[in-house]
Amino acid sequence: MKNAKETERLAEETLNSLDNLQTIEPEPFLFTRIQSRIARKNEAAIIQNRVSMYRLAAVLICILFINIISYQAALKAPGSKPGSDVKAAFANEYHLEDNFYAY
Amino acid sequence: MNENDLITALRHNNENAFRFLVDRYQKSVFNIALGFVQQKENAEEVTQEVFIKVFETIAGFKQDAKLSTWVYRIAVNQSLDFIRHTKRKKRFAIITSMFNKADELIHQPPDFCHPGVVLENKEQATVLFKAIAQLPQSQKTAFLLQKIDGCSQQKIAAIMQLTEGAVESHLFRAKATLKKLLINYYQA
Repeated sequence: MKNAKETERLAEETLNSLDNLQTIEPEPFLFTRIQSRIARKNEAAIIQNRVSMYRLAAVLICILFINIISYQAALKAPGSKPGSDVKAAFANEYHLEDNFYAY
Repeated sequence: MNENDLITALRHNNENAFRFLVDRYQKSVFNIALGFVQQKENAEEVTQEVFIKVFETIAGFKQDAKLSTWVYRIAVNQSLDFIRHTKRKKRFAIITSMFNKADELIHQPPDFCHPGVVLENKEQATVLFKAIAQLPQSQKTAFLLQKIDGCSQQKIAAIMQLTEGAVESHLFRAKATLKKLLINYYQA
C-alpha cells in the first residue's frame, strides 16, 4: 500500500507517459489494400443490384402469369363472354343501340 | 497540389489524387485510430475504412472545414463506431462464455502497449491507455487528439465541431478523470 503522496506522484507520471510519443507508420501497401477493398465493395454492390433485378423480374413474371391464368379461367367459365358487359355498357351510355336517326 | 485541386481531382475519381491523399494522411489517421481502438490490426482496419469513406463521400464534402479537419473527423467517428461495435460483440461474448465449459471469458483482448511509447514509459503508458478506454467519448477524443497527434485546441475544436472553450473544458475534465482513475489503480 502506497501513501497518498507517492500515489499522486505515480498518477502524475503516468498521465505524462504519453509525452514524446512517437507516431507509428502503418503497414506498407495500405493504398493497394484500400483499392482492393473498394473494388470488392463495388463488386458486391453490382451482385446485390443484379439479385434485386432478378427478384423484381420474378415477381413481375408471377403477376403476369396469374393474370393470364385468371383471364383464361374467365373465358372458360360457362355463360361468360369477357368484355361483353363492357361493350353493352358502352353502347348504352352512348345510345348506340337506339336507332334515333333512322327515318 | 493545393487543397482545391486535390478535392476536384478526388471528385473526379482520380486515382493519383486518391493515392496522394492516402500518402499524406495515412500516418495521422492510423495513429488516431490506434489511440482509440488500442490494437494494431484493428487500427489498420479502421484506417482503411476511413479512406474508403473519404473516397465514397468526397462529393458531399461542403468545404466548410479544411480537408485535413474533415479527414480527422471521419477518423474519429470511424474509430468510435468501431469501439461501439466491439463493445456490442463483447456483450455477446459474455453470453456465449456462459455456455463455455472453460468458465472464463473468451475474446478478452490483451493490455495495449503503444509501440511509439519510449521504453521507460511502457508500463505506465499501458496503465494510462486502460484508463483512457474508460473516458467518456468527447473527453477521450479531445485528450487523444492532443496527446497523440499534438493537435492544438483550435484544431480539436474544428474536428469535434465545438467551441475552443468546450474543448478546454473536455481536456480539463479528461485529465481530472484520468488522475482519479490512476490514483484508484495505484491505491488498489
